[in-house]
Amino acid sequence: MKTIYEELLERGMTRRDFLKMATVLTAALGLEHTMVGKVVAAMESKPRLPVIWLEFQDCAGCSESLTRSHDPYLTKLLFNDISVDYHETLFAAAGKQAEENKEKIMKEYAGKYVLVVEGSIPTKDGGVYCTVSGKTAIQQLKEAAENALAVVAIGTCGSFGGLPHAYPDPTGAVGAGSIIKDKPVVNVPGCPPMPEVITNTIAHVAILGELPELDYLGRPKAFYGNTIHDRCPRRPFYEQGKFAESWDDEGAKKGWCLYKLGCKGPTTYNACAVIKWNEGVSFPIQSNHPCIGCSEPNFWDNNHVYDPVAFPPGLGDAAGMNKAGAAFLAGGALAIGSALLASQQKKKAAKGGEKEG
Amino acid sequence: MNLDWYYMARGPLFKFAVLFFLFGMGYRLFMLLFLGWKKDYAPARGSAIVGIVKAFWHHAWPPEGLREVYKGRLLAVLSGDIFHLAAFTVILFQPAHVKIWGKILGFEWGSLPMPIVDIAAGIALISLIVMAIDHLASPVRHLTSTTMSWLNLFFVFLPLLTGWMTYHHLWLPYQTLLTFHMLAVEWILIWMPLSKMSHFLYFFVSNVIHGVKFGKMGTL
Repeated sequence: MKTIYEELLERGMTRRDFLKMATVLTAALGLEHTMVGKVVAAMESKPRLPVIWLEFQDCAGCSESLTRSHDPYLTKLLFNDISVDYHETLFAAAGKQAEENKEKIMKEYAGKYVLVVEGSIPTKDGGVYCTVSGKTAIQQLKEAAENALAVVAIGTCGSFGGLPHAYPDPTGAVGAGSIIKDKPVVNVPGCPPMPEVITNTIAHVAILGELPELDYLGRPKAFYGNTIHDRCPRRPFYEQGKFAESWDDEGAKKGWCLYKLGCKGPTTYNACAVIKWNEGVSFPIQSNHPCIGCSEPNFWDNNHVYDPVAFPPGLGDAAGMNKAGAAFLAGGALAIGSALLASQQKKKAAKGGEKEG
Repeated sequence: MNLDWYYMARGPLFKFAVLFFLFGMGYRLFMLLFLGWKKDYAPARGSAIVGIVKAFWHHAWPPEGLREVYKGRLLAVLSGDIFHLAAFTVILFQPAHVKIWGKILGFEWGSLPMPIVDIAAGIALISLIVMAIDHLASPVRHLTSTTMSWLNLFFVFLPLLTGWMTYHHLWLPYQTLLTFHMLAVEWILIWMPLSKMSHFLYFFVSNVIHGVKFGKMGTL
């Protein structure tokens, strides 16, 4: 079986270009420059690894995102040399032939293919809410994951259940990690995730054959190691206490911090503020919109999009305030009742004492 | 880390703590007011209003007779005042806190720049440590310290420490730190009506009551 390097040479790439590519790739993977040798060695010694990309309850937005990766090396590498062999949205084939092809890859490359999961998996009612070629998403996922080298969950839906998991969660949607328990799942959340983060993470697994360093939610630390807040260009305004109070006030025009308008940057781990979107042009906060925290679990239920992150969910609505007042008055009523009872008992005791006397 | 605690701490637990706090403080306040008051038949020798003002003033500036107690431990005594000022700076003027107050009260005020709040939090933490040392070092205070006094100091220390750690994003993921901070705040909300921490309300009530009583007697 040809190695990735050999395939690249066959396509006309020179050794010089290959080394350049490996260097860029190392940086893109979030690795130290000392790891270039390891990347080169991996590509020289390992054959191309197929990627099987399954889609369940999703909007295909993550696949859309993938196709917008602006890193030519990585995109080319992923599509030509690592090879996404099965992808329901990008596939030309469909139906029986496509499924047969998937099964063929799963057999032929048992233990060597990378499984990518996009979309959440419904668990309610036996998982009937999402079926592909007559099999439920749970069955599809379990079958494909059994002999996979690694499982990469793409998007917040694939990672944590995402929007389908939001209240009232009619399908009992969960992320791939809730189904696959016998092997680690790399989570690449975001709605959608950044294209570079998708390509880089898959490339890391497929080229090096190992998982990147992960955080406590199974996200690659290279891209989810810092909060948006930590890397936000508006951070100095937060420190100075300069906030936009409404969408069109002076603060908003001057580019002040959007914290009070609902920015979830402080609780959101992602690389948007560093890599940025659309070939590094911008990201939501730079475009005057608060971060909605889309790469965090339960982001949709955790706070209203425009509620500041400080608001405990559900606190302070009209019903909440009524409850607060009612609680205070209930305590007061109990106290008054007890005090009156005590006073009556005191009077009784005093009368009893007088009689005895 | 499982994020369930994070959601619990920010959602149901916080609401429960606020409701428990309001219920408890409502109980304690009304209990005090309806305990029954003896009618004062003595003719007033002084003004009740002046008595109230003097009662608050004496709290801030100890009268002649009490100053003996504070001799040689000015820093320890001042640490209490400094702590309260610093803690209220943090509680009332940290941007996130301002938003929560605004949501609860329906109106809000300006927040202070973070470095100022940060320094205030540091001062509050240090003054609590000074107070704890004074509890051990001062013979009088040592004798009057109970387990509850230590628990009160500890429970006040925790939200400040966890809040400060959260702002500086020290060691742990932000959500973990925020969870600890919220839990510490929730615990103190529950603890307040059950302990001497309720002095935040009784301080005003008792000063007014004593001010009126002793003001009318003309002894303040």
